[in-house]
Amino acid sequence: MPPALLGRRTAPHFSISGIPMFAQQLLVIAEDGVADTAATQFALDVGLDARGSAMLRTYTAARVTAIRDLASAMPEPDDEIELYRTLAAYWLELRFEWQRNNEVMNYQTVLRGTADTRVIAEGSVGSFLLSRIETLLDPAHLELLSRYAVELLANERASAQLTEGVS
Amino acid sequence: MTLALSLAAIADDPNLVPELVGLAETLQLNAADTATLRAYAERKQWALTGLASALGDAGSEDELYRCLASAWLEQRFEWQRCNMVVNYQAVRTGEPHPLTMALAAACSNIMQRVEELLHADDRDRWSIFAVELITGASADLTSRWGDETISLSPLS
Repeated sequence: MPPALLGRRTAPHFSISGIPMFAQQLLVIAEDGVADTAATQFALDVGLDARGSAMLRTYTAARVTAIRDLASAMPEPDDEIELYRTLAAYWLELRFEWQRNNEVMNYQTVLRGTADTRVIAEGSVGSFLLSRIETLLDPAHLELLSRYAVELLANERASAQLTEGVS
Repeated sequence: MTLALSLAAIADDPNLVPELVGLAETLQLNAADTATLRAYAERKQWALTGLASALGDAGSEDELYRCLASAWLEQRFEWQRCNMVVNYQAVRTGEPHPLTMALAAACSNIMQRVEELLHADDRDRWSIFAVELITGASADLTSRWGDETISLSPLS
């Protein structure tokens, strides 16, 4: 079953069982203020300048808008299963983005002794958003998705040999 | 040319951002949405540049390929999500949001640029997975991934 409502800003729609509609729960975790406050703090933590901070907040707002767009596009009870699956896919999207930022950070640290603060901050926002979305996904599904995120990339090494044509 | 140089060439393409922002005119975006699209395009270019430069000295092509694959998957899922939203908006209101359409198109553009560096078999495998995750085609996933199905629906 979906987890309990985290909090609410507007009157929620309820399903027959009395559980808030999934789209409504999604809107709750997509509250602008919470994510923006987190992004502002992450920017401060890593010492981003005003421009970098503004870019980070713009990025965060876009990510939160994407969550709201999903909830708004699929608000009906009949849409809930597809909305849930799409949210799971969004989690994977963010996970791959976080993974990319993490790889870049690691390589920058090894090569230069330090990582780009914007990459660090964006990675932090990614972690924050992933954890918000995880409150709405079944733990068993999260475990599967995490495994898939690894497995999807685990078998490409042989294929790398086949791309020598571009090298 | 190594993968890192190929990726750098994509990121450094002077036409990348203008081409993506040009979608604003095609889809008649307003000023605010055009600014959002521009921010999106510039951020994507920054991400590709960062990936190419950080991994330029990566220990092996395998490592870079895996990172590139991760970046492509990120784009693939984003494109699929935008399309899903556009489709639902079209059905519900008859008028999908132009900005979402522009983001989907921009995403597709970037994906096509990057996928030239990836092997077709890998792309096909990942694309099938992405679609089946949304459609809940658990039978196929079972055979592909092992014993467990991915019935991603505690609501059903």
